[in-house]
Amino acid sequence: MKNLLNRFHQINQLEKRRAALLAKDNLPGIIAKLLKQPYPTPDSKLKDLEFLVFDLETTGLDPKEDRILSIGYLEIKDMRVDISTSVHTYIQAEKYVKAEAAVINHIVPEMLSSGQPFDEAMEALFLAMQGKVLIAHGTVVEKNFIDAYVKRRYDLEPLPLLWLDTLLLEKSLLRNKSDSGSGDYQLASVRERHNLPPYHAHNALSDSIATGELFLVLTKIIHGKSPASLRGVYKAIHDN
Amino acid sequence: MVQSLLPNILEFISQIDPFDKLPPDLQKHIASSVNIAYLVRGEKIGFQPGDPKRYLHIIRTGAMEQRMQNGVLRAKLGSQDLFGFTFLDDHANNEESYDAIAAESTLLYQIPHEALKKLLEEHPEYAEHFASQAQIRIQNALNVVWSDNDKGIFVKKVSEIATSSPAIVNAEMSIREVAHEMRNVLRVNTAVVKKKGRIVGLMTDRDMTRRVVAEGISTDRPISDVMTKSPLTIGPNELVLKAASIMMQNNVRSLPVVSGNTVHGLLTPYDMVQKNRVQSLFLIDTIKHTNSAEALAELTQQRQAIFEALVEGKVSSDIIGQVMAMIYDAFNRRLIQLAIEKFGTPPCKFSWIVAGSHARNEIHIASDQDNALIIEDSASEDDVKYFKLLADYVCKSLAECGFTLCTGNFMASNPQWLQKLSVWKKYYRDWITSPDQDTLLNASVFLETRSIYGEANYNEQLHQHLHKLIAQNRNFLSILVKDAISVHPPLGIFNSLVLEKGGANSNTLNIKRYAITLVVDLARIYGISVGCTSTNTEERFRYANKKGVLSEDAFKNITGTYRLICQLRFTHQYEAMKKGEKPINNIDPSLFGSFERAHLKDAFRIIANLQDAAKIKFGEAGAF
Repeated sequence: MKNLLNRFHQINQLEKRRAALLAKDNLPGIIAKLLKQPYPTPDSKLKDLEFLVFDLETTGLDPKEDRILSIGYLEIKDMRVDISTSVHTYIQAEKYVKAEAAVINHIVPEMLSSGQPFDEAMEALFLAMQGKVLIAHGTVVEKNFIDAYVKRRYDLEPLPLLWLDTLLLEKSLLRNKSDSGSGDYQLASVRERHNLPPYHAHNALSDSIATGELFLVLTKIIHGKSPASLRGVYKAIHDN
Repeated sequence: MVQSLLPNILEFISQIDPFDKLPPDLQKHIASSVNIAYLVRGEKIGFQPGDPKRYLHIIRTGAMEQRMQNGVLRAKLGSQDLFGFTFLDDHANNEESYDAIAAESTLLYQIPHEALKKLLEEHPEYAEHFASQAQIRIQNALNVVWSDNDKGIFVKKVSEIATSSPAIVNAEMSIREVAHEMRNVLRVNTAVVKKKGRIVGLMTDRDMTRRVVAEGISTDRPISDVMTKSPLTIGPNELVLKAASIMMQNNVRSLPVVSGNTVHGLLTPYDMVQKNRVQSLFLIDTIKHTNSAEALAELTQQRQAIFEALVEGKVSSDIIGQVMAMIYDAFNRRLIQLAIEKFGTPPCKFSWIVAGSHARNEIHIASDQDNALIIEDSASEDDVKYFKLLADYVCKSLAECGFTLCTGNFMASNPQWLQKLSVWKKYYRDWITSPDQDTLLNASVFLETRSIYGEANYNEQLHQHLHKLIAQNRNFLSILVKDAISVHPPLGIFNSLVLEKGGANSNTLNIKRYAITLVVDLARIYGISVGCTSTNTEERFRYANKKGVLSEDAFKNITGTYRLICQLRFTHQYEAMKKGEKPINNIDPSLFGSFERAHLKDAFRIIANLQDAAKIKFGEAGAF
């Protein structure tokens, strides 16, 4: 019961922080837009919510040292991954790309030199995030890079965004099955465990699609045929 | 930009029928409109006409079942299968509504109806691939196969090889004027006769000899007195093969190439021999002049080569069946002639009849023997012995030529099927008036017969007798129906539900038993019900349609289906032969590509629907 209240709090706390931040004077316009819509209540049905699945390809894991190479995202509405909302963009860079990142991500300098300016790409992402529950596989990286960007560009503390992590969701499911798991939570491995088709990985958009599909699968596993609520998914992720 | 980054979806969609028929930019367009949904076992997608959110669904992984509103299974679907075609059509009616239920966890790619509709409006040339009716899709599948017609020698168009031009003369011209035109002006041996712009006749130099010179007719008379009236013609877009079979069947030497009343040219055997080795013509001619059963057996390879060329050339299944039947007839007739040379002149009148698929002109490379003898009622015991010798010789020799002995022993060499005309009449009476399970098989084999040697009139008499009996005994039809619908098409084939168990053919689909026979049986029922005299499956359906017992829609559906399944059988026989295996009716379903799978499912559903319709129309409870 206490846990339940806590969870209730978690989403509500986010909502309170969102409202408070929005009320602040001098909030940059783009951040105000991003935070304009109230968050859904914990009892909202997933099929009534809008999600943004997204993925960043970066040169490394440290937002201070490393940079974002590409951004991919798309929406889930009515529990359908909607390819027509797909966005993929390379981030403009004059300087060289770390060799190993280029190999892993199949991104070559030519792609980046013709890419979108970083700020422009981030503003587009923030606009897309408006009113959406955010989904990523292993949200830590995406979250850290966004936090760092917001700090650097607007001198703001981490934004109170509503995140769902498919990696944590998978972890919690394996724990429930008292299966220690292989410890392999890579997107491709998790998808394989759930009989999802093998996809080419390491492109920000195709990873977003792959993550979106995985999200559909995992929420179905938690809830089966009955309509799932945000509370249930949130509980699975954050009761670690 | 974004589209090129969807390789996973694009790659999958672009190899699936009918998307594989689209150009790459449209494939990308479709891929970028996809919605992805995930269903767990038991989850349902309802299809209701007028539903604003409609999709064409593609199964990426998993399995689905389609069930009608009454719970009856409509189809079982697996990876790469599509559903939701019906409801792309705004006019789909309520009766067609069904549910799609996940049989296991299923990942679906869904293409929004609106997106597809817009795309097809902009590119109407691809619309037929996405037709809501199975009939159009099947027809289109056949067309796709047909369009690939540069491979085979048989599938050239008449216009490609007909080089000579006939003289074109007026019906009022005198015979002399026409002869002058032919010989001295154009140096051609054929004239097409027109009257007021319409083609009314044909005159050849051979006709001049036979009808004018030999008969002593005055050359002042008008050409219309001696010409061949209402001549056979061929369209410029028809296949050479069709022209060849018209020429053979009607024993004519040239065909004017005509569209409407415009004469494009003249097709002669010379054209065909020069530019196209129409092998079947040669083979039939060779058979006629072969002087021993042993030498005939050596021609078997040529027969196989022709079959392979026909299948390779993607010639339509009804033509393949006809050509193979013509060759079969030639073998059979020649062997009867050789038997008569061997055993002496027949002591009395007789007719050698063929039955079953041979009678229907639906022959394939592995067709076995179905034949019988009708002999004159006054035949003595010794006469019967003569025919027994003849039949043994012919059947055995046919087997050596590759027409295997009938496992059911439906052959003239079986004394039961070597009988006097009156006995045959009694057989039919017994089968029709008191049918039972044992006699039904006999009846179904001999409900189709064709005389290929001797007194054709005997066969005619039997047909009339048969039709009269059936008209008087309508119960027979309902028993045929009961038998015909006792086997269902395997709607769940790709989920290994209805495959043969055990033996060398375990886990294969017997396409004859589960598809072809079902359609042939239905055609028989429909044909008989309206007194159709043709035994050919398509002809029977056509006649039933003409007589109003089979709707236009159902007619197109079932004939398209029949061609498709026959074509599948031919193709798989061909592939088996190429691998040095025996061509059989059993097909491993894993060999089917997504194209064949999708259309086979449509086909099975159409057969099942017609079975239901026949049951209601002609079954015991039906009002007839």
